[in-house]
Amino acid sequence: MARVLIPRFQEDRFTRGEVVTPHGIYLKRREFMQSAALAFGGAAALGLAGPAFAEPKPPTFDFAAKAAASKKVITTDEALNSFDEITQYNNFYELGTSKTDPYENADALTTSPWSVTVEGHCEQPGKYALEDILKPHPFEERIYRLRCVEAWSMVIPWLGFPLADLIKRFAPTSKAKYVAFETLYDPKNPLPGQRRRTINWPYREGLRMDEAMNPLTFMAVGLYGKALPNQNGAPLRLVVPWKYGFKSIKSIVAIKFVEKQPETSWNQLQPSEYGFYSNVNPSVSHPRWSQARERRIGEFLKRKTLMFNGYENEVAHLYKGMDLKRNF
Amino acid sequence: MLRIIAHIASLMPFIWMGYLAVVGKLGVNPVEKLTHDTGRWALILLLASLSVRPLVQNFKWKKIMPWRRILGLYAFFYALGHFTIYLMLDLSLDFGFLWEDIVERPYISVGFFAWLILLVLALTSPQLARKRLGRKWIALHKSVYAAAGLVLLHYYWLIRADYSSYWWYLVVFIGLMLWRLVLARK
Repeated sequence: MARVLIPRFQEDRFTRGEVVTPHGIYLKRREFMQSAALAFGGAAALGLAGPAFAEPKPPTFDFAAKAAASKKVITTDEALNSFDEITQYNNFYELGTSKTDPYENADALTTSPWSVTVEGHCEQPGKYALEDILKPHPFEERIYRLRCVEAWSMVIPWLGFPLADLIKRFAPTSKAKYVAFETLYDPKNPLPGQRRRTINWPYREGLRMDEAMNPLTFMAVGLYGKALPNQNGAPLRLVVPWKYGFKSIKSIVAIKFVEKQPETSWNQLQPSEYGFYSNVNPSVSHPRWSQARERRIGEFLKRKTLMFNGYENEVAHLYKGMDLKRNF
Repeated sequence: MLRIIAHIASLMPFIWMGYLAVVGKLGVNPVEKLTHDTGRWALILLLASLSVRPLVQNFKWKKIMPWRRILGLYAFFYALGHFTIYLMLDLSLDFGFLWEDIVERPYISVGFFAWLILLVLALTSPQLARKRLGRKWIALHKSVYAAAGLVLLHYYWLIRADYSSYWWYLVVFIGLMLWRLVLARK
């Protein structure tokens, strides 16, 4: 029971950011967490419980302040999925292939210190500490639908900033036609799921430049107003809401500006099933299963999947004239 | 007594699933969890049922022979749960969707066909049917091997990347098939 009550955040990196979100579930959850913290702390004081909540260390970064000041951008008025749903049902093969592995193995991922290598066709390449990546960007809260290629979906309140704002800082040149991303992989110290080659590690993803610069494309550093839990791709992950979830690469350590369409992990693994674009499209089935309907986590019956996951107005122009059946 | 053991063992997963459902511990995606668990137990019990005869023959333990029928019927019991969840919660009881899936999705086609075989075998499992069918009964019930093979194909076509647990089921199935081949030659 106690395990459920302890939030699995990387508390040493950021102080706990707290924003006021006028959402019933969210507030209820916060109250619950606070009372749970009090109860748990009380038990600890009596010497009954194990480790109590780690006291937030002095802030090394103004995460909390930025989270508190975040502007809210809502793209759907559908009910949010709960914090527990979002953090205990994940596809993050680096931490294991089952849906609950990432939550259970979350501690295996160390996010401090963290740096991101920027290379390729840009004027500001280099190795950037996470703090330097984040510092200039005000945070926004964005409520997005997330549609997994496995035909389930969630509604998630991300915290972060537009990818376009980050890319502009690196000043890509005209040769930069695509942006490629890589997830953490240290062959000498692999994560639990990286000991087997289910995927050709490191995990790779990529976007066309115009997709990357679209205002919807988002760099998330948190959810529900707090730093990202490890299993959700801490400390820095991509969120591309009109594409299947696997395009939204987690725990990013490298950003490369390239001229040719980059290799991407699921496409490498099964080119007939996972295309480079992987836009959510109810009329193009996965070769093995239908993409016409999806199960929203928390609902029993399936609902219809929307073209571009409901973001057609924002992104359809990117694919004008393209055959989306061939460029799946 | 031995029969009761088989019944209890076969019902344990069902009781466990019921318990998890009652206490709300089926996880974030309970429908998926129940679908996977009923499917997995149908396969396990099917392979267990197929293992009874080799065990009887190798260890001269004739008393467990009734297990073959009991375990086989429970395999169908879980397969029925598996199919019912899929039909009601994945397809919202829409038979148009069902037909589309059977025609267009090979993993559904083979899974459905395996389910039909198990249905026929379950229906013809009472002694009365056995007597009436006579020799045909034996030929008919040999199709259980085809059902097991189709179930494994159904499972194989569902996996995205991690085959680690799949190989165990396959090895057991191949072992059982080899045993049958060797026996047929004798």
